[in-house]
Amino acid sequence: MSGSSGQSVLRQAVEGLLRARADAERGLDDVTAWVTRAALRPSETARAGRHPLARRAADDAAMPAGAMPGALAALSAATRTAIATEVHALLSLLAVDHHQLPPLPPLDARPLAGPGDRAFLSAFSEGFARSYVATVLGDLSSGRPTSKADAAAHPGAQQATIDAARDRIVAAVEPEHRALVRAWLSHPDCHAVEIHGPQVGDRDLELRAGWTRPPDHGAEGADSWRVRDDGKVVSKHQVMVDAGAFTSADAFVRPLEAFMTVARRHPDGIEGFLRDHSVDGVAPFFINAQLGRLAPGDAVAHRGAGTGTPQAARDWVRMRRDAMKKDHECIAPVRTIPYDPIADGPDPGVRLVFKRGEDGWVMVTYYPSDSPAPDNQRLEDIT
Amino acid sequence: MIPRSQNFRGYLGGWFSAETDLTLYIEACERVPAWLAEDNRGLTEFRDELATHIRESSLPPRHNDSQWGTDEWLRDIWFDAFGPEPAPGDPYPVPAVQWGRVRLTDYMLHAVDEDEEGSSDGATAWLAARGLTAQGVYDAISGDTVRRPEPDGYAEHLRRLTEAGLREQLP
Repeated sequence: MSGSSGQSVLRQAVEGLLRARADAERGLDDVTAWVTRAALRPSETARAGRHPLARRAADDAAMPAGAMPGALAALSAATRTAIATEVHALLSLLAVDHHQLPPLPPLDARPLAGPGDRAFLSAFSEGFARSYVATVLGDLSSGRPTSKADAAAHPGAQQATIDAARDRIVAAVEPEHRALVRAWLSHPDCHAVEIHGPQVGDRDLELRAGWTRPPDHGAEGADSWRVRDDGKVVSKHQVMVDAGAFTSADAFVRPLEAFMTVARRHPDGIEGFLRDHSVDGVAPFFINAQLGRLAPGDAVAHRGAGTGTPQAARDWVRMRRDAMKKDHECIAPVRTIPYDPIADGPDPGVRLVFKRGEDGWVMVTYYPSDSPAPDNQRLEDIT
Repeated sequence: MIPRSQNFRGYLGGWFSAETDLTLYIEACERVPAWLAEDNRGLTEFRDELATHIRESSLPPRHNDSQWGTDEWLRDIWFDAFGPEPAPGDPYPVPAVQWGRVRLTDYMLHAVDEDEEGSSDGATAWLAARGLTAQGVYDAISGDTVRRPEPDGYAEHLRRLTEAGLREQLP
């Protein structure tokens, strides 16, 4: 059911309205002719939304567009209020069961008299509504979509390029660790180089976050992924809202060296360390950027736009799934944002997971991240 | 229950950390029946402690999330790992009819597709054990959601649990 009021459609309408508001704010500082267009544009954007509330917002926003130049301030306040009112209504639907009474505390229209993101935000009640609008609003200007066709046309990875990156990484490791690291990074269940290595380009990351396209697509052992003739993106590749990579072999190696320095102090060596810090054969670590000697520029990533709260992130993932559906049933592509997880993250570092297999410990994942996931073991707590 | 055990942290930050590694999370959800059949003690202790944290709201809130949002996250993990029966003693059980229809979990969003080609190999068994179909879940992705608001009296409920020493006072 590609319903008229699905979750992903609601979320998309919220983004559309907030973008329209940003356009209107910018435009309203400009000449009068521009004003009319600026106020009409949000209405057009909103009209494109499939939800009836979004369409109603369109009419509300279009109405003040005929106002005289002297009424600029009133016009901008009216536009903001119309948009805020509908965003609030959509958030109520995003927040809870459609069949209950409006559960979100009501909008406070007073701050909407003045311009600016801060005033706009303060109209929404603290908690779910304000954090949700804040994360979407905060990412509005920098997010951009890629088309399905872009994703399909992007050239595949060359095995030789991946192998060369692995060789450079191994060469950057301390000589006594080289054999072990090569074994870890060459295991068929390890895709650390394939997906997070320095050969992975910015576009690869953008398409991984936007369409779950694996950066090693086309190379041997990559998760299956394709855009079918009917426009459906069929993917076995798993990714949450973030796709990141190290920018050099040297950057890739530094946190790993920090890990091995700690791990090999164990009386039984790295094996013993993994055994003692695993539960049921899985050992998840977080190596903070300082310990891993990572600096801004050592990693690059793309993340979903407006994913700053767990609920907003969940809605974004759902929007992506919806965008990946067949041509006649999908919604517009999701937006992603390039960022530096080390420079921009609140608690940056590297997530590293080992898993015990039949043939010993396998490094199943290793990637730069803006923060640890809940209950990842922090390496500094173990040392 | 405060604080959480090392065993619980190990599972939550490892096998069941969808945020860290979805492939591992999906594998864990699919392996639970086999683990239970072989009487995996660590796993049953994790299950029991997960139920306790759901019952007592005793897992501290995630980054950028509320206590209620965190409780709801744990309920999703419970469903993904242990199936449709609510955790024992859950004071706010999710109505069974909501799962896979108006409430989607990480497993559903990442391991289930209408085509086998886009689904996890274990999805068929996982869905069958929960009375769901791949088509139903796939269709629900474009549909409505019930995101449950904090229930009436939840703050008072938390206060009583805190006073009983079952959870920590939030800063």
